[in-house]
Amino acid sequence: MSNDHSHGHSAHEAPPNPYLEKHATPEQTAALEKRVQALESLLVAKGLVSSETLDKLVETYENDLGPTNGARVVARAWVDPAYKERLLKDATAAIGELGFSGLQGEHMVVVENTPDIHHMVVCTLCSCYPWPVLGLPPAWFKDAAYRSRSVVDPRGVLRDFGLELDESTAVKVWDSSAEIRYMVLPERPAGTEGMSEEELTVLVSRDSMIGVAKVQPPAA
Amino acid sequence: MKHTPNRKISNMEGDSALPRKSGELVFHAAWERRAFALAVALCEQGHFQWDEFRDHLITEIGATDQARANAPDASLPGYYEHWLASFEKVLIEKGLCSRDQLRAGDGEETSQKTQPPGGSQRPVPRVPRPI
Repeated sequence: MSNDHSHGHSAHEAPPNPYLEKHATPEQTAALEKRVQALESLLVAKGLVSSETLDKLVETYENDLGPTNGARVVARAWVDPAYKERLLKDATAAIGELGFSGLQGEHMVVVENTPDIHHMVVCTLCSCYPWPVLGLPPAWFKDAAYRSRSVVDPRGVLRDFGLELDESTAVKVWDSSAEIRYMVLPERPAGTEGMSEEELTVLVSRDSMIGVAKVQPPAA
Repeated sequence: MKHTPNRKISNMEGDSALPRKSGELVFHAAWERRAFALAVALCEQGHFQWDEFRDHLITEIGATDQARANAPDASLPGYYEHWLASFEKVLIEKGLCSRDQLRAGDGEETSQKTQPPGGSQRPVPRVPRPI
């Protein structure tokens, strides 16, 4: 790419988006601040909205999507073998089947945990994360300690998360980037045979889809 | 009560997709955040359908994309300027605000009394001065 403004991790950045590069002059910004303030005052005066509502609303959207979309993908894969096959073959399309997209060009790859192999996901260089399915990354995912240690000592990191794997289970670490975002298909816990897809969805935690936890069986 | 984001808004795709970086919304200035909240709040309260707003947004963005293709220029309106313009259009269409009311807040284009700089509401006394 010519005129590269990246800091050495351009592969991990989102695809170029002109709106992320918008530069307004201080005068333009001041004029817009004034215009929006006037608009807000007008709508508040009309009783259409309150300033408190606006504060709360922005907060919600900045914390945005929860990991429930991913949980629905996992639950579907557990109950529908044909869906699971499509998911492991072309995750972007299979996730799209459930109506989750907005990936803006990134490809999703789903890796399946089994008793023999445990997958976990990291973005070593920044915080690439499949947000349409998992919501926003937790703070620790962006933390330098997690990003660097996952590669060197994945078992140690998992132990920090309270997950002790059998020595016979191999651990594989996947590094997400702007091109490929990984999500883990965790193992379906024992004792869930009779559960419906909806009931299963509730069990699936965000951490299990990053691969730092297993899905816990329902409390008896 | 926990407020849940409207998926229709969060998951907008293509040109109208909210600017994000690693999933997080990107706001360059406080007014963008505020403009975002105003439109979403009024939609969630049922004053208009999200698609009605989004149609305007797509049209606005499309026009600028054309302009950008011809002459790349960072001073072209950004996403939230389109957002603001689209929101104002919806407000007028729905009869929630009049064009004049919107223009009155617009400072420069005010045809009526202009505010003195500094925004003071107090009228400036005009006392004839003896020479």
